[in-house]
Amino acid sequence: MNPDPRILRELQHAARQATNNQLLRLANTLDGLPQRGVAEEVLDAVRPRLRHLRPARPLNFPRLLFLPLDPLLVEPSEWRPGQGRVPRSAILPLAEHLRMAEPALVTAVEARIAGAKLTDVVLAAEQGTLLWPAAFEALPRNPPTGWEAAGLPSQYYTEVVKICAALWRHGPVLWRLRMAGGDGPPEASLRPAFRVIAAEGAEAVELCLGALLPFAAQPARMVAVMAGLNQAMAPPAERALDRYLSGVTPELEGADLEAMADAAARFARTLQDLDSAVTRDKPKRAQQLQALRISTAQCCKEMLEQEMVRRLTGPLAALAAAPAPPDAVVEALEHAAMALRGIGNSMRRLHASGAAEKLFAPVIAHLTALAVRLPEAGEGFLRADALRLLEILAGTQVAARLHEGIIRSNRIN
Amino acid sequence: MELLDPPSLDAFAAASGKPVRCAERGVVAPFTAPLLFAARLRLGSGQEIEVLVPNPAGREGWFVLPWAAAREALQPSLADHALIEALKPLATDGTELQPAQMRQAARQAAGTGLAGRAARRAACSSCSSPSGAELIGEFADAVNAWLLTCAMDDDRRRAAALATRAADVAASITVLKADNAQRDQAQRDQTQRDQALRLAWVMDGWVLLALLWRFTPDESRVAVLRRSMALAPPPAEEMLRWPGCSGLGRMPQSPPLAPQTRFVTPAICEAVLAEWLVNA
Repeated sequence: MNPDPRILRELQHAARQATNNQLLRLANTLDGLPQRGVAEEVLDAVRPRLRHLRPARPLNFPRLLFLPLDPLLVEPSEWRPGQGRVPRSAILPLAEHLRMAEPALVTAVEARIAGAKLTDVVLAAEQGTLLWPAAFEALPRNPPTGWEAAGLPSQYYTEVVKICAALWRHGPVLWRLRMAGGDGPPEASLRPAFRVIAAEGAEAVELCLGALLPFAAQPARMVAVMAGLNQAMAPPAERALDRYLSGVTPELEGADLEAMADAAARFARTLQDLDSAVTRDKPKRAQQLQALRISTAQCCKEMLEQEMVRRLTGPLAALAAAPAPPDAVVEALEHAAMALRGIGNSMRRLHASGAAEKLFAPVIAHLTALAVRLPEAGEGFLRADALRLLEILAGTQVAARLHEGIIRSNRIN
Repeated sequence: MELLDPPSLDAFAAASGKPVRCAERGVVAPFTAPLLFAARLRLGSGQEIEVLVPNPAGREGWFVLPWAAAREALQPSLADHALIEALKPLATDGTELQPAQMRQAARQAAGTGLAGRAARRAACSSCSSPSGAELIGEFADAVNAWLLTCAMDDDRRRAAALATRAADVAASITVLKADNAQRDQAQRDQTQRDQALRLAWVMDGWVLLALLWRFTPDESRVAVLRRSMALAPPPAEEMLRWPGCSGLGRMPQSPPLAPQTRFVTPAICEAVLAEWLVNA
């Protein structure tokens, strides 16, 4: 049933206005609904924020089944043939087909994951290892029941099912590689996994890399490992990288200060890796990377301009005047300074310019003056507090030189 | 997590991987600069402070640097400078550096506030609850439980090796304590100081690792694990002759992996320091 568009707009507006905690509660409540169609549309309005808040979504059978494919899932309205993507509307008919084909397995998996969350990656790996290969084996030759009713034209079934087949067949190993931690899987683990995928042919390589690259800390290195294994696999690996590059974003939208610091640092690192993928025969990549650098650096600059006063200079003025500020307030200011500095560092790395330093210069000058005149001990904001903020914002060398100067001057006096 | 651009320390001497004496191994220093995390200090032949630092490039092995060189290469924080300043008077009286002196210097340095308010609170707090032995045991259990959630086989092997070493240390501490309790009163008084020192040496470095594990968010634990085996202090040969400590020589092989990012942030180093001041 389609919701009244006016009511849907009102619900989406309310979701946008919600605080982080309210939004997490809302996502939790909507996740509990048996019919999630409208719920998903409400949440569509706040997906960028939810990505940073990372609510613990329930691990249900359809979600687990499509976990290896999730970077390739798109809204039905955005799906186009030939792009290596799967429309979300395919989830239900394919999941229901597997339920009919393997009722005992699906019942057992559902019992095992009842009440679990998506964050339970071990359970997902354990049950996915049972489910994904079985789903590959059970894939029907023709569209299953409910395919067309979900708005999916039957002529595109073969294309969608090829993607599902490759990713379910290799689901267990792809999941392990995705879960390999922030530094990504070491080459020694990538090679044997990629050999197995490469043996399946170029299409499997392109699809599997397409599902892995969005989670890779170093996507270009991953592609180079695959291409290095077998020369014939270089073209599909490069195609997967081009497709990844055409859709990659820094995911800064909806992020608060701290989340943006993390996301910008991660993205700057990814772009540094992607530089190695710029070759003479791929000149477009250099333009793409440069455009990403400039736009991400601009987002960082806007965040710095917006938050510098609210999170740093404003609270600093209040702290310096407070007779006995609580430790928690001083610590909160340090955390904000670290996040701002982190964004400034990413900005510098992304698009070399002195813009970030110009934004920090006034507060650094203010802290330098404060550190000289603040007392060493007492209940208030102290010299050590100012020196620490200076260390965060201007670096240890600057803070250490000032500290040594103050000590020398005190000795003379 | 910030990208790692590790300095090359190849110009400096390599530290022995099998130190004979504890003093040669050095005392772990609760530094707050990421590149100095879990570095150890000892007094060199000219009584200058030497830093023993695990290879920052992630390969196995430790380097020995004079503090002046470490200052240049490893970006110590203001708090680290304060720690060295607090140690300097102890370094001039000709005795070897011991864990108790490190605790004293660390408290003094944290009292300046340069390592943050939490560390200053811990340093100024009169009640400390030393529970390093329990922490190391819990660390072994936590790593053992975590390895079940680990995706890569190599990382699982690393986690098993780390948990085994931590469990061996916890077991040695239990035997060392029991050995002292079994002695008669006269003997116990006589050896109490030696026993306390032995306990401190056996625990040295492991409390810091246990706290690092505790304060590391889930998503960064693989990076910490891959680095942990490089940070874990090797046992000194003299330790292996102490009651219950022969198991410390059993060092399961599990090579560290070169880190791509900083596995620890200054904020985590400072949180570890504040807790270490209470527990070490």
